[in-house]
Amino acid sequence: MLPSLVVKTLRDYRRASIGWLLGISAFVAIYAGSWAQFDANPDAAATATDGIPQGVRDALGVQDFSTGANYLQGTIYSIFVPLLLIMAAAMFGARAIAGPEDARVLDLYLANPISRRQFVLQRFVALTGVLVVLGLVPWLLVSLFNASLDMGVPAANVAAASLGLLLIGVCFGTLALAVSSVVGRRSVVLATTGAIAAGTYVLRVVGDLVGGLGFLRWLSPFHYYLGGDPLREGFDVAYLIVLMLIPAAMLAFAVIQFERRDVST
Amino acid sequence: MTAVIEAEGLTKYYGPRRGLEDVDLSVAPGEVFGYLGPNGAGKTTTIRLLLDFIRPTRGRVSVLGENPRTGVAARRRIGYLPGELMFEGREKVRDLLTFFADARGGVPARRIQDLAERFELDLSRTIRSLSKGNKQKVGLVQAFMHEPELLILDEPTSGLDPLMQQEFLDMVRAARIAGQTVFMSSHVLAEVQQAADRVGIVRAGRLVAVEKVESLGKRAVRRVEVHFATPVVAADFVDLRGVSDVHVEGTVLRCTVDGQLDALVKALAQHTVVDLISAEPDLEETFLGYYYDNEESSRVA
Ligand SMILES: Nc1ncnc2c1ncn2[C@@H]1O[C@H](COP(=O)(O)OP(=O)(O)OP(=O)(O)O)[C@@H](O)[C@H]1O
Ligand SMILES: [Mg+2]
Repeated sequence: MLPSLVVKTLRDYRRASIGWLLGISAFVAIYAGSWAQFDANPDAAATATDGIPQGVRDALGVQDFSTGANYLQGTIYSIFVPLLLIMAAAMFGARAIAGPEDARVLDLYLANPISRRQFVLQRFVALTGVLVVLGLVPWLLVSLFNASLDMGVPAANVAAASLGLLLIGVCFGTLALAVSSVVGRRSVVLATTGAIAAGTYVLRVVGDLVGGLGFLRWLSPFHYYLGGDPLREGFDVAYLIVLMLIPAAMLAFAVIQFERRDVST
Repeated sequence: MTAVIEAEGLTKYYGPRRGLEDVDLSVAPGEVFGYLGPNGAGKTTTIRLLLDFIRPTRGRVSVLGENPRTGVAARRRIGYLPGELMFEGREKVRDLLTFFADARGGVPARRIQDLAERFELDLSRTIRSLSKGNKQKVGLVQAFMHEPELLILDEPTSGLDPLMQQEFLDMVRAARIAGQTVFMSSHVLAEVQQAADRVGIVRAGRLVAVEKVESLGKRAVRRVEVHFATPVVAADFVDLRGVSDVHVEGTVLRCTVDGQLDALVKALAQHTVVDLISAEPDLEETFLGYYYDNEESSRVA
């Protein structure tokens, strides 16, 4: 049986989860399903992204749409779906501590025999559970379209990219949790998480594009997600491990920090 | 017997701002302790320290023999009602209560049902659709439902109508008979007097007095204002038993009466009384008057 706070949290998150699930499903299905028109028309595929300046394309990791891997990377994995997943993760992460603290109900929960540590851990488990469900969507749908539309991407590579995507979501969800462990204000948590997500994204782009600043990309979680080119190269175990260590470290920080501070009214 | 709540030099500053200062307090098992004080006195601060929501700047506190910081398991034996009760989300009352029951290691569904019936609370409604008073009932049900050894209630009757206030006081009496310890804060002396064994009063962050309720009951300081048909003189009233602070302005007499009204009423009967206003005994006046008088007499002795 699941711990009581995990059950309650999943129940609280249910409505919003269904919304994000439908949104992400629709987005992935529409884009992956549109592959047929590029597959049938190589000229269109080669020029589809010409309207976008080269610099922007490089920054976003978008190439032409001449192969299934290019197409999936450009439409789904490089920016839009990570963005959706990160937004969902930040919102659920902010609802873990800052939400009830803002709403002044946190003390009602903490008056129970649930330690601060357990509180953070159970919230993390529920958050990750929801993100796993949301992260399964791109994997299942892309796998489906990849097979049925002959996109030609090895199934393992789709799995590798999708796992990285999920872990990016977990990273930023845990970041929101870590920020809440310091400041229990939803607006602060969302703004900080959003700023760090945008900042680290830019860090990777700058690291990739600007000679001499290559070291910067190592500071960005996005590098460990797409830097190994999972759709073409498959699993990069070392990178995926880094993507798991980042949330693990932030979770540890969140526990220690939340144990120390006063809960506000 | 070891105390259920024990505080020594308990102090909390919010940054530079004082919340509570040097409070020594001991609540015995089975006791109902009323914690009184005006707005901003430090009642909620004390309660939040007892439950480890905030940490003391100085001093020490133990609850059910444990440091609140580490005694997480002891919270199973505590029922808590926040002073500013809030809820979030679209939860049904039943779902929230089930969460509390599970978190505390289980409560029979029958018990929740009984309490809900007692307070006429509909468990199938969503909490956000409830009125303020009905939300307060949800708070009371969750505090009482696991029959905790210690109830910590912050202004428990706020928002309840008089009937439900009585229902609540009955529950406190039942809890007392069952041997539960109750620590409740309030602004209203009368309410605390009905239920409590002892009353402590906090003012500006300090616990200024702790008294047994019986010793308070006999004594009530009242402000009395009398309007006469014709002018009167103060001399007629100053020497009366229990009467002090006599002020006369034309046909109006204002004074303070301590204890029985008898002497004053008999003196008033000499004149034609148009109107008589007797204000509720003022909490601080009664309490502090009593406290300081006692201190003085013990100093003299
Ligand atoms: N989070 C906080 N930050 C700063 N000051 C605070 C905070 N909480 C309480 N205080 C201050 O501490 C003092 C005691 O407040 P507390 O809430 O304990 O009073 P109270 O006795 O519960 O009052 P009330 O009857 O209005 O509920 C007040 O001066 C208040 O302004
Ligand atoms: Mg208060």
